[in-house]
Amino acid sequence: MGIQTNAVTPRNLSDLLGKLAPLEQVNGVQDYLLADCFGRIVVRKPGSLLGEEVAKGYAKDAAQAGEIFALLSASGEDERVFDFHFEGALLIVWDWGRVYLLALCGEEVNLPTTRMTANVLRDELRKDKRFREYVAPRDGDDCGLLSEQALGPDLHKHVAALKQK
Amino acid sequence: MALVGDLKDLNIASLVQLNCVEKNTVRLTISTPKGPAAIYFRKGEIVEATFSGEIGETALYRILSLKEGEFRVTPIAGLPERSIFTSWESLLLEGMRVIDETEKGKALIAECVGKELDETPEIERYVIASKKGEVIATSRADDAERIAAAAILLAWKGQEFASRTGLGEVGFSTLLTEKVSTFFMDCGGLVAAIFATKRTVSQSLYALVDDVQRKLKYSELSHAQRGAEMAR
Repeated sequence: MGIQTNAVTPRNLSDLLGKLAPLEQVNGVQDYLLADCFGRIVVRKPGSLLGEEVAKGYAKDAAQAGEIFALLSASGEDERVFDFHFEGALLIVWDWGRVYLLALCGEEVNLPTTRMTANVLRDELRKDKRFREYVAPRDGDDCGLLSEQALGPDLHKHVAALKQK
Repeated sequence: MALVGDLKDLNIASLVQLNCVEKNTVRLTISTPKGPAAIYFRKGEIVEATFSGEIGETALYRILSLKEGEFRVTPIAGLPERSIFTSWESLLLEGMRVIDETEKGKALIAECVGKELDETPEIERYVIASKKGEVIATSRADDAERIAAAAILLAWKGQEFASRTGLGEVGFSTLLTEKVSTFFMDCGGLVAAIFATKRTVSQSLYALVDDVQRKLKYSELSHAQRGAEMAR
């Protein structure tokens, strides 16, 4: 299992936040953050109401879920969006390659607009050479987030089953 | 002195047998996600059991099906009122029979849900499996075990999200790729993955997912709980 070393590094943070700002205009999007494939926060919404530890938890959980979905999906599929439906909220995660965009939404969220906005943001990042690496495809198997050490043997046996082709 | 351990190391039937043969007067408690379970022994006889709002033999049979949890055996002076009068040997035998029937019932419900999905045009394929990874029902067997493994890991991830964020239980998760949308559900002891034929998710598909989850959760209930559910 290869440990990836080419994760994004936080640079040009204020410019990056500026790129993500349109999410704040979408009805129902309560919070958002960008996490790297190690489950670390890259940037967060200014004035986010999420506590620091909760936000870190979101980042790690989303990255782990992202690795699970990546193992499941057919190779070559680079467009992945996944979400978790809670009782009164929705967490949408866009897998952009080396980063995950997380949006925590209320029930009233306008889903088509949210998805369209996220796609526009991704295209903006692709066009901007300062941020292009963020949306580049990942290499390596996973980032160690699904290692036996991270999950314990009971859960890791399912990761091993998932890797069987 | 209390005896403390994990059911993974010593199963519940062995614990019952041990306390009965030793003619102990003790309380055996087990910590479970559904709350504490307890069996009371007086001089080696099982006199009472309580679990998740149930008492007596019904509770005992459910406790006998537990496979995970920490247990503690402590000497006890004041016992609750006796409601179990059957010998421990008969109780263990009957318990094993009830567990077997419950497992068959679970598999039957999963198969019925599978048949419904087979007849739904919006569904391309599905996998229903136990959380151990055993595939119970599927429309296509080639990579069912891989999909079951993903569903189990996502069910665990959903529980982590729920406990970390305080947003409540995760109903289901979905994966949208370029071509299809897939639903993953945590249904208690079972997990399910449903692949839709289209990327766009309709309201009727959400309703179907909700229905599947409700039915699979129902299969987890004990005989007594199923009866109460049917009566409602």
